Amino acid sequence: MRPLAESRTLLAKLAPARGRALTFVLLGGGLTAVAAAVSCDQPKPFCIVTPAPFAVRLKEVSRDGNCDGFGPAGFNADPQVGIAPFYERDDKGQPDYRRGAIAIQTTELGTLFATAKGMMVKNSVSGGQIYSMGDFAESLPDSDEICSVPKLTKTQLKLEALPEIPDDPATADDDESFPGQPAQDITLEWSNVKIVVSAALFGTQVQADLTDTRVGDDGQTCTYKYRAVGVSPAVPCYKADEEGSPVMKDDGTYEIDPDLCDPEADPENGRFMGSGISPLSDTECDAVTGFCLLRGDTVPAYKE
Amino acid sequence: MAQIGVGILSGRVVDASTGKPMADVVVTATSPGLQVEQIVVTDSSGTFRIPNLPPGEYALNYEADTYRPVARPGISLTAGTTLRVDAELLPEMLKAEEVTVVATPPTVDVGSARSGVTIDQDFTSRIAVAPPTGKGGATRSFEQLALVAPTASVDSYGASIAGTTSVENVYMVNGMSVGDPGFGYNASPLSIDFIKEANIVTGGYLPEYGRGGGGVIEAVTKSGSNEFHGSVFGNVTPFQLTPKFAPSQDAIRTTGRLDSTRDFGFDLGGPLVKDKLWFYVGANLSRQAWRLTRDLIALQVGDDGKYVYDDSGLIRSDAIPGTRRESIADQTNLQYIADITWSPTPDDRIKLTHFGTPSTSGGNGNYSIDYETGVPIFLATGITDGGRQIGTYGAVAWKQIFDAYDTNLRWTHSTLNKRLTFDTILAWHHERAANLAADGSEIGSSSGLSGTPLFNFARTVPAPHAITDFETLPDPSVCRNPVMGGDAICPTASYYTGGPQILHDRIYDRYQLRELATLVAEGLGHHIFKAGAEVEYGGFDYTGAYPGGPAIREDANGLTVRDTRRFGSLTAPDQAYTLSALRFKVSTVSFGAFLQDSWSIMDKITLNAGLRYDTQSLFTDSGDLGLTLPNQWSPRVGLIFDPTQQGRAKLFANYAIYYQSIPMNLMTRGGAGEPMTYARRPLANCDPRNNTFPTDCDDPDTLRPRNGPAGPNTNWYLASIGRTAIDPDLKPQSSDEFSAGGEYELIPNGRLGLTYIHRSARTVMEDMSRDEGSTYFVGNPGYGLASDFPKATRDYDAGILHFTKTFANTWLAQASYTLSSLRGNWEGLFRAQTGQLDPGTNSDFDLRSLTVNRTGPLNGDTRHAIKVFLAKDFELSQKNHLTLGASYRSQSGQPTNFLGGHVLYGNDEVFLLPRGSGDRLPWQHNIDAKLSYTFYESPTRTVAVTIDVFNLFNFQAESLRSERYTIRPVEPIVGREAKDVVSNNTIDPKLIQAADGDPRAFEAADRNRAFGAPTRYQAPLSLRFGIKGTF
Repeated sequence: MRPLAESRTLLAKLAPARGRALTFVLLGGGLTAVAAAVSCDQPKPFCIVTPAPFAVRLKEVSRDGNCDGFGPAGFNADPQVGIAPFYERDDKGQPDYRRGAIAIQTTELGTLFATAKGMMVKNSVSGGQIYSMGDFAESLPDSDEICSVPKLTKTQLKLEALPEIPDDPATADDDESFPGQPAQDITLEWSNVKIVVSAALFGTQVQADLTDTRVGDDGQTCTYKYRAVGVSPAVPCYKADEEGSPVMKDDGTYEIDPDLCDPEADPENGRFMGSGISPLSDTECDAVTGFCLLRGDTVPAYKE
Repeated sequence: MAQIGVGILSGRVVDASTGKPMADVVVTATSPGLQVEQIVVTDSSGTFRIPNLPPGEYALNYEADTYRPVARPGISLTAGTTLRVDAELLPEMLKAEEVTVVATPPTVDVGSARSGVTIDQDFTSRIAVAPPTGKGGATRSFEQLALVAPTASVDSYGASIAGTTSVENVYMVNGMSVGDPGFGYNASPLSIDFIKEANIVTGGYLPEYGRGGGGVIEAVTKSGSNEFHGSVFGNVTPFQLTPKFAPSQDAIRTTGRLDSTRDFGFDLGGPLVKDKLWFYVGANLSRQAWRLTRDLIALQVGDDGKYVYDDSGLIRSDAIPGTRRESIADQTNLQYIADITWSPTPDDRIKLTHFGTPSTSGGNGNYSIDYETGVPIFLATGITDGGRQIGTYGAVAWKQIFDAYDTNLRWTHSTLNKRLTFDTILAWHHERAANLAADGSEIGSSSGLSGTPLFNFARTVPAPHAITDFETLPDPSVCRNPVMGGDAICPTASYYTGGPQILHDRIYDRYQLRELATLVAEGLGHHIFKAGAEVEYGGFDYTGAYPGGPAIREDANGLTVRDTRRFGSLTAPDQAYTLSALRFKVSTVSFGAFLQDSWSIMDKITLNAGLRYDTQSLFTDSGDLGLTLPNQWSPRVGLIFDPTQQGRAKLFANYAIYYQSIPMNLMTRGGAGEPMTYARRPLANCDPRNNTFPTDCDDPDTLRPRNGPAGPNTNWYLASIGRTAIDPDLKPQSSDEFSAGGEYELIPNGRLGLTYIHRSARTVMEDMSRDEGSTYFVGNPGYGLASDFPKATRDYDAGILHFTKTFANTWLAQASYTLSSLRGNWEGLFRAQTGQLDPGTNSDFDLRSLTVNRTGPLNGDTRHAIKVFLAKDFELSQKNHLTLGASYRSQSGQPTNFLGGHVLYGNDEVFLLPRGSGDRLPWQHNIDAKLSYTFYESPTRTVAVTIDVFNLFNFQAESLRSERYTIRPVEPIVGREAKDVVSNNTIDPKLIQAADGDPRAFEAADRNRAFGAPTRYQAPLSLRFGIKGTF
């Protein structure tokens, strides 16, 4: 019988054993690294807020001072609130999602300010700024999927009265008239902002405390405290006439079409897209503002 | 049992006089491809197994005391197969001569239930393979051999296997992955000249092949042996017949034609120390060039000033004399390979292989040939938009670089009479894939084309631009319609100037370590146990840039312009910054382990059972976990029965679950974020025709508001900020497969088989939005957060009748007929309709409204496929041989669709009628031929001259047609079938509901006249001449 290959050198015999040990050490090291790296839970998204406007409901908590003639009406005329995320830049100059902040601006202030700016009148307090800004407390949502911004800068809009402008009779087609605007002194303090951040609701529900202090022409001061609850995107749900203008009821509320808040499209009735609001968000059409608003005053507000 | 890159010889030895099994028979395997002979002894049942044999032609010698030795030569062993070669030994006292068994050795793989084909040099030297165009065409890459397999068909990025997309395949060289870590296509297009054998495994594969949702396309590179061998070769494809192109409907038309593909190379292998140390080296330089012809076009108008249409609904047109511009698209590839094999002891084999495939394409006035598809970038667009040079050179050209380098070290150590084998494999894949500006300027720099924004003229009001707005014509009056209010003669709906589109520089490194133990053991028959563990790390270093900061488009109104893309963000309201380049590094770590047993029960039935566990984690730029895909348990079980008990037939059935390795692109777009910010301004302040461009585009005082009074940003719009959210219940992507069939050796070396395969998607990963595009998350359609989405489905069923005759007695044959069905609503990792390759984040499931009518025959659903490959050698004289090879590949036509616009997603995203409602494309036939003449100076010194003819009869069937039924946003028509609502290729317009909010009802004029017109044809005839000297 032919001999089987037996004549191996000691080195050759040892080498595989040593190499094998090395391999297993390498694999073992790899495994340890993998075990450390592998998680069965998907990562949480970084704190964010969707940059599309929110439709916000204000619920009065308290009022203080001489509040005759003050109230949420100016806000409710267009309850859209712009909230946007901002991030510091990292060492590559790119957004560092661990260091985020938000800014909040209401339509009411935005409109007053834009009108004044168009007439070359400046906000005498904060220059160009009419938003509040604050940092996320943490970079990741907490166990309740909430990202908090506890403290934001105060914003104040202080404008002198704008005069009335009559229509120019020389231009028959254009209406240059402006009814005038009383002097404004509005201070908004946002705090305890909570934003829902999860794969299901990705920065599209918000709640906050708002302190709204206004000084009237005669120096009277009123401070309202509100709980604000918002959902994004801001979707109007009022019925519109042929020109697209809202149809109002006698009591000053809107004729509403709750179907417009429906996340599902209804092509048979000419609604080719859903509202854009998550089907998980518990919303209703609000006749006071004419927008789809969250029910309740806390977030997350999940549909039952 | 199948084994990557190597095969197994097994058998049973009996005493011819008594019929009893013989123990302790020494079985020696020798082969020219085997550097050291392999020796085992039979066990008490008379059986033996020799694992880990490199593919090649083997001879087995059986020797036992007091018996006459027996030799069985001529055994063709291919990688991944088990051949059973039995022997009967005669006692010496009965006969006194050595016995050479003349019966042909069996060729049926009785050890595995996998389907597929093995292609060796006998095949590639006789059949015209690797056509000179398409992915891998320039280098004659091994991946093209996949198309020989019965269930394979060509798609944009390679070979689709069994209804899957090519990027789902596992691409391997020498047992380690060479797939692109970002997108999944083959990244190492190694020439078939350096390949000893390619294995195309189309189904039924065992856990050791790793993770993939498609097939396995595996190459084994050549090695040196104890004799010096080498070759010098060259191939030239000097021209191609003129291809057919669809007529242009715009003022610019580009047609392309392969000008030449040529390659020259050599290889050499031999011993450094006989019986101990061998080397193999090779190199190949190739260049491909296309001739691009660009004409300006005048559309024909009649006396009424209106367009004149041809029968297919296209506007008739003529080239404008004196406007032709010729240019070249080119690609230069270098390939090299170096291999050292060391066998310090008969039980140890260490193989170190390094190969590189660097390439460069375009630049210096030339255009590029896309490395992802192998086609010049103008000609590689989706179904609905013909590629054209619609702009200046710097805006529409790229310089493309694609370099891949692979190093792998494999150490095989056997012990216990080769019953226990360890394989240790270490591999490194390094790759760079870059799209750079054509002037070579550095990505992210502020000078040259890299520093100049792309500007797209695209107004529609009051009318689209005319070509005369941008280019000088010898006689511009040809573009003037003499009839006032008539149709535009030279419309240019879109024209690009400035720098190019997005620039990428992608650098990948992948490290793999695998340990494999194989044990041959006994216990109620024979077992081959195999246990393996592997760790893989992939790193992806990404740089992306929009030249000069933004890409800018003229608004439809012709008065304002907007950023269509701009990497950047804001630090506070309206405090915007632009990133001249976006840079990040993402990574992935995978761990896999498996256990499998091939149990030959009483040597009658083989049971293959295996279980694989995998986990993959993807990490973002900051090193945080971006996505985790744990607990991937994939069982595989197969049963093989050899009714002949001689290795000449088999019946088999197999079930498997496969998990998909997720390419890292998912992490770059979703995980690292692509922060974008956009602004809008008047054209007058940002017009490339002004000499203040592009500096004036940055003036903050010219910005137009983009947001309402709620702000807080007034002028800047934010997009793609943050990371994509992941469904907490996300499941990894997987598919399952059942196959069954049989094979029988009909004639020596020729076997006939019938196989049935069913494969279907189980869970699919995609990005989705439940709020009409406000926010997105990655999940599984139909599950978890996306449980109200339809499940992603893709069901493939195929019956395959095949015949294979390996090369012997001067001829070979491979023939197959496949009857298949591919249905579902998910095509795979890229979308055939649009060419979108964003594995895991394609648009199929983005919105629920996009999913209506999406279920039906998928793009790859070709009912019938016939493949026949035949070759015969003719010996003219002892020294002069002629070989004739022919192949016939044909397939029935693919389904087509009626596509409309989507109110949010734009063109071609709505299936007006259920998927596949359009007429099918015609059959495609391809006949290729190869003629080669070989002069044998000696049996090992030859010179061969070959001619390959691709598409011999120059068939020019349409391979693509316009599926764009209308550009109006429309609602899908639900619950109706094409046969009830379509006549004359037109849907009853009353049934179509416009979804653009325009009260005007959908009318006949909204139908795209060119719907159904052919947009692409088969590649025309081309010839390749080759010469190869071997010694």
